[in-house]
Amino acid sequence: MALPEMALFAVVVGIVLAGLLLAARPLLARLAARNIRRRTTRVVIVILGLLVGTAVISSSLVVGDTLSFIFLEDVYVRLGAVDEIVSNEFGGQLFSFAETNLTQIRADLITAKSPVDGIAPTLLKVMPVRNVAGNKGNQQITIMGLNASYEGAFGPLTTRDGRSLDTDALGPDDVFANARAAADLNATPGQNLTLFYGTTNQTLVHATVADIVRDEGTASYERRAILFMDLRRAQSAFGENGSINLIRVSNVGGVVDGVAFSDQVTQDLRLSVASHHLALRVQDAKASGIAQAVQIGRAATELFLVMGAFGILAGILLIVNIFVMLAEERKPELGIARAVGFLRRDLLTAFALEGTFYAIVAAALGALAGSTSSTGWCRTVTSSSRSTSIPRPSSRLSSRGPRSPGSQSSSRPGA
Amino acid sequence: MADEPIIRGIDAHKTYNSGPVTVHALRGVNLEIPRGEMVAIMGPSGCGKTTLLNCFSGLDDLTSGDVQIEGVSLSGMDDDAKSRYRSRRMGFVFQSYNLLPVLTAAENVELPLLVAKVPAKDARRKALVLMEQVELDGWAGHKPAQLSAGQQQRVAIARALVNDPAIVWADEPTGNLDSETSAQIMDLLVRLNREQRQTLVLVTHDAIVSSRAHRILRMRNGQIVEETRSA
Repeated sequence: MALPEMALFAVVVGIVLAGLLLAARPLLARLAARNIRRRTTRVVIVILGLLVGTAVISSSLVVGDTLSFIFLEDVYVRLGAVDEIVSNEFGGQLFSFAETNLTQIRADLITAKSPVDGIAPTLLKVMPVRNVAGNKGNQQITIMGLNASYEGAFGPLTTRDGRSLDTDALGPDDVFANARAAADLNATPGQNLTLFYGTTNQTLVHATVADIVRDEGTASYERRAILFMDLRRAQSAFGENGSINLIRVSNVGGVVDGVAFSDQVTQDLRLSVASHHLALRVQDAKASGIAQAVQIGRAATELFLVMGAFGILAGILLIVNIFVMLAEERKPELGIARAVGFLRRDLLTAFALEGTFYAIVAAALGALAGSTSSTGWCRTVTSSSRSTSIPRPSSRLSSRGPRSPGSQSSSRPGA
Repeated sequence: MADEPIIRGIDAHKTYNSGPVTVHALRGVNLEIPRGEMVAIMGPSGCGKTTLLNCFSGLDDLTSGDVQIEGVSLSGMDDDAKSRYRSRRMGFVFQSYNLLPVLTAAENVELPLLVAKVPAKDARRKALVLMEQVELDGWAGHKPAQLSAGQQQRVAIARALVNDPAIVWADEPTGNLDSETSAQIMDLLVRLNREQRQTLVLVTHDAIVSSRAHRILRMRNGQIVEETRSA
């Protein structure tokens, strides 16, 4: 049973026990009720003291969930339809490998009936780029070479006015810039860019911005500033003919629910890589990202819960002090109560009923205060966050070859 | 007045440890009080009067010796049994009335009956009868703070008598009252004692109050040093 359910269960049990006690000992209930009304200011102080802890605890649960949500959203935005990636990564560098490896892996996934609806080759390079006309540059622009015929499962690139674009429609020297890259380079369609590839023997590649695409789906990959090229053109321009350095894999299902197949697909990919003795690494990128997001949310929840526990502890100390004061103040009354025949446990019960009232009211108000403040917090932090649509499940890979470009564009995020 | 003792104290000792000092509040008190008798206990402050009342009524425990009430030893009863016995057979009146401020006058009076699990309607009926006897009919719904000192003490007396106790213990019942109200309260106690044949043990400093009792016991240093019977 999770903490909120346990807390709710405890509150319900407390209320039921108090109710039974009220029915069984109406005299004690009357004494407790009258004593509660006796000192309004003190009651308010006790309830406020307890309320703070409850509010912190209830809001911590919401804050944790909200943080998880934010980080999950980030994972979905950064990866889009990509669930797994295959690369030859070392020290943060992507090393190239033969494009034919993709064909082998794809064939193995089809044979294994792996729940995958897309696998796409990518040549990804990071380099300085300068906008010739605007005289503005950026050292860290990502160039992605894509083969449009494999991109169907990952969604099209979409212009600001909603047109779908594919890289095979680009002219020989053209590129699409995502909105982030366009902003970084202060670039507009038709402007010329210079790409500085390599460090020692630098190759200058000249390109023209054909269009600007929205930062969503593939164009939001890892929230980078990206220029998109046709894969063949990229291979030629950077001297990587027949090579790629990244394989993106999309599982059956949408951006959110495709990750359910991640274990199986990752295993199938690793088997394929191993069976062909390929020096490639398979990463369950989305599943790992989600696990990390959940972990961050959980850590935040625990942190706030500890803070809430301190609040509760302070509240307990406050209530103990106040009850000690009450007992001292009511000493003569307790004496006469004993004289007329009240048992010690009767007096304890009357105090317990009084305390239960404080606890229940403080718990209810605290939960209300916590959820109200959390609602405000949620609204603030999620107002800037994009909700992630869940596209309809797509069909699996076909042995007939890659799908035509944009064939599933309507089912992709942001479409 | 019957001769059979309803209260019997046998070599009753009570000591308190107050830091390094041991206070001998009762030093071997032997006492017999017959049923229906009205006894006044007098003596200077600190002589052990209130301690005697507390120990003989079972509110406090003796250090040694024994107290028998209606032939039953208090030392043989546990705390719960003593509480139940008090709720059925004893009534208490204190100097500062000790009414529960959150309850009305009638609710204070009916309290011992409710504690003894008497049905609420019967308890209320009995409480109103007692309030009438102490001449407080019409004040049932008032809280103690809305009553005068004399009225509060009358409520306390009604509360002490509502369960038809065998014994009423009164600790300075007129200590906070002016002389006129004090006389009225004593008239009331004497009348109730006479009409209802309850044993009344009252602790007092006041010679006028003690003069209304059948017997006066004088205490000094935790012992009964003198006994006087009224004419």
